[in-house]
Amino acid sequence: MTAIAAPPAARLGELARQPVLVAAWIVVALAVGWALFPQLFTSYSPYTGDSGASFAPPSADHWFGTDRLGRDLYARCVYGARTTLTATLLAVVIAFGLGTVIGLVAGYFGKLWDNVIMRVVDVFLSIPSLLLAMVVVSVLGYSANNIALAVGISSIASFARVMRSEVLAVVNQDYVKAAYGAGVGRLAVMVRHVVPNSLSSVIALAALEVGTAVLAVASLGFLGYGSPPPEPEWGLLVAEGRDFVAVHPWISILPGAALALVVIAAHRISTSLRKDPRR
Amino acid sequence: MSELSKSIESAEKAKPKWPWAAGAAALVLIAGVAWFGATRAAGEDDAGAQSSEPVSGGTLEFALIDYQRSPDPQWGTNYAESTIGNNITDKLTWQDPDTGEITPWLAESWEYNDDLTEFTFHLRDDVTFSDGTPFDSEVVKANFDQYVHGDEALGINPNGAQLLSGYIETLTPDPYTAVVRFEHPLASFLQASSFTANAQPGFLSLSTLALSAEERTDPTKIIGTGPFVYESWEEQVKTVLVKREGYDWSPPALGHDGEAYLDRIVFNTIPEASVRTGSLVSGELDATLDVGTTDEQPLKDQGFEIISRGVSGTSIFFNLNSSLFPTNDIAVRKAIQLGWNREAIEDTVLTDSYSIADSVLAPSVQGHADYSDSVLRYDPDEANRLLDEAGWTVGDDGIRVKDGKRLEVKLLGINNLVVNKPAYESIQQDLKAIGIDLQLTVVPIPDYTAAFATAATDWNVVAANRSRNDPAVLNLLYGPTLGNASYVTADSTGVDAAEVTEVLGKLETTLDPALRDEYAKAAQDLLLEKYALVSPVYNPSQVIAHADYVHGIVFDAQSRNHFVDAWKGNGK
Repeated sequence: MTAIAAPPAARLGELARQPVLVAAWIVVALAVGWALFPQLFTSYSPYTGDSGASFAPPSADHWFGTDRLGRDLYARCVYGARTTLTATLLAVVIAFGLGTVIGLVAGYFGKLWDNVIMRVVDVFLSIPSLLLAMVVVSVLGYSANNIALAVGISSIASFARVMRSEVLAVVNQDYVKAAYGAGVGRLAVMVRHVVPNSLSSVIALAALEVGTAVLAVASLGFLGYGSPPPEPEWGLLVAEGRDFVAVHPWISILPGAALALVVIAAHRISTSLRKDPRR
Repeated sequence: MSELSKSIESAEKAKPKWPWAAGAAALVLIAGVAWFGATRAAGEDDAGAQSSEPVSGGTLEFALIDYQRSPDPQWGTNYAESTIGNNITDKLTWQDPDTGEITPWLAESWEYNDDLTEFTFHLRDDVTFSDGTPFDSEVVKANFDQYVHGDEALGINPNGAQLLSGYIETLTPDPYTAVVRFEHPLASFLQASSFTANAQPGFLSLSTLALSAEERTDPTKIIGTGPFVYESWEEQVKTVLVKREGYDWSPPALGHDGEAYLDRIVFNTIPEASVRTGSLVSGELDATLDVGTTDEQPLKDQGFEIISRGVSGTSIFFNLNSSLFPTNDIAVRKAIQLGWNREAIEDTVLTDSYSIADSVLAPSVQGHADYSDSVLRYDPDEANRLLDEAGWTVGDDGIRVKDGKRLEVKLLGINNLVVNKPAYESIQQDLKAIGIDLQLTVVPIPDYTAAFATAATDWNVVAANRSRNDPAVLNLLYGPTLGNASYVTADSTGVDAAEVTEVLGKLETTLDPALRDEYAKAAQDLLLEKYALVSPVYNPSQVIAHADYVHGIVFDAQSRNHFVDAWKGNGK
């Protein structure tokens, strides 16, 4: 991601030729802004409604309209970003951190390590991830943090797999063999040569995982496993509107659209990371 | 997320060309479907829709939010279970939903002694079960015995132990006379003999009573005397009933002679309100219960009929746990009663089918009194004053604190009624303004049942309701020796348990209407004003939307539905 944060002039030009990618970055930046400084983006409270303005349609006053209790839906979306994106970030960090280490150990130490770890990973991969997340969250209790943990745990296996295959490719490179020949220790080779050169695919996966994790977090929120009311959360906002979809469609559709845009943007960014020519 | 790693590895090939277009198209599609559903005209008018002569035949496709967990009607506790149970079994008596009067059904007449400990029923002699066996006093005895005591060997719960508390025995002096005896006066037993809601005393055949709980999941083995019999039961999907041939003993008060008009009723379980409404509009359903509040008006506009009846019994209540911090403090309990805006809920959440509670008893129950000018008013200033006086000071986050402990009130509720959650959220908003942090856990019935097991020690507020069209429901629910819903114990601070027992217990000692009114008032005074053991929220209602060719769906005294008199204008 650093490549995009400080692009050289040539890359700026390349970026300008990809308006969709620029738009994707804007969407993600906006969502992160909502999560970090919600009060800058709306003056309404997400918790207190105006009972006189129940089910107001979208207007200049209420951009996304209001819900049944007269709460501003745009404010609930903005504040909901904090719950949803924090859970997402936590989930990706857990999956990325643990998955990378597990994949590294399996790929680098090989043999028995590889066999044992990878069979366990296979078992995890065979369980549908949303189902696994639901089991975890049922055991831990309903809350946004537990959702993050659940989604993170259910994605560890895919990170481990990708990391292992990258490590396997890197350990057979000439420069790794050369390092051994020069007398560098096994651990030092792992840290200095293998890890940095294996990470790029995993980072791309992490970016893609952000999109998937947002969706998984929202799905669990939609199903009612998330924060207790009145805490807004994107999945919950969609769920709250589903009983009114015939009469007041904006309650589900606008938060749903925000959710869809962030997921699509994350996917687009992930694709661009993968195609980074400097790899 | 194995598909993910694959998509990473093949990212070049699988490049989506038009992700934005696809997303936009999906949104347009969703919006379009919603719009189409909303605007589509009601099912085409059938010839004969307006005819007033009942037409026999046809299948009624009906929907509700709950599902029947077992076909055994004496066990059921949700609306689906009690409603379906009411159509396959009959009771001794029928309570008039308008007047509350007890009228004949399987019992033609009855008398009771002055102590209200002995009730003699004279039964009809022409009633049979759907397997041909006769309905007589032996059957009454066997049913009541198992209903009260359960049967451990068969895995049958004592479903009626609370309703028929103090039951001794049923005597059978002759085949069509049954004498039911109790240890102590039980004035409400007469109403209990007509009871149609949770765990109801609908009569099952002797062969059914001999079955274990497991065997009773085979619907064809559940034999009643009702106007319908089971055809099939698919848990969480649907229950199908067919007409009982030769049925001729519906309650005289209904004015219906002979068999049911409908050939078949299908009770479909549809958890989503929008899907129930959509299925009705598209003609898949003929009628649906549990109509979403915001769907009522649009359905009316499209020519569907909305019928409803307030549920008799208690309102939807917040039962306040008097033995758990912080609701053991009467100031907190009183502040919860005063601290929320009833008008806001009326404006945003409720429709004309519902009303704000002005007592713990619903308006249709005998003895109901109005407390909307007393403790059940919105008065945040008074609530603040009470809390200040009791030593609760406002903390940094706006929530009050006392002795270093925050004023956190944990609520357990059920999401089975469409307006529960938004109503509770509105209350949560208002209570926050006076410094009470109301924490909501509003879950489906199975989760509620599981969490309710630790209600005495874990939950300050349990939000639910109890159907029973008799003031004795207060004794059943709050009597310290019965339901004890406010967890009054001998050492409850500031609450005299013996007094609660005595005042509520008086409801069982007389059937004289004036005296019952007086006792009911005393019971409500105690629960609402003196000890503030409950904060009633709103009066629930059972709302049905049906197509214009559907007629004759009956709401009984507990607002459960009976279909013996229902018919479809098109007879299909």
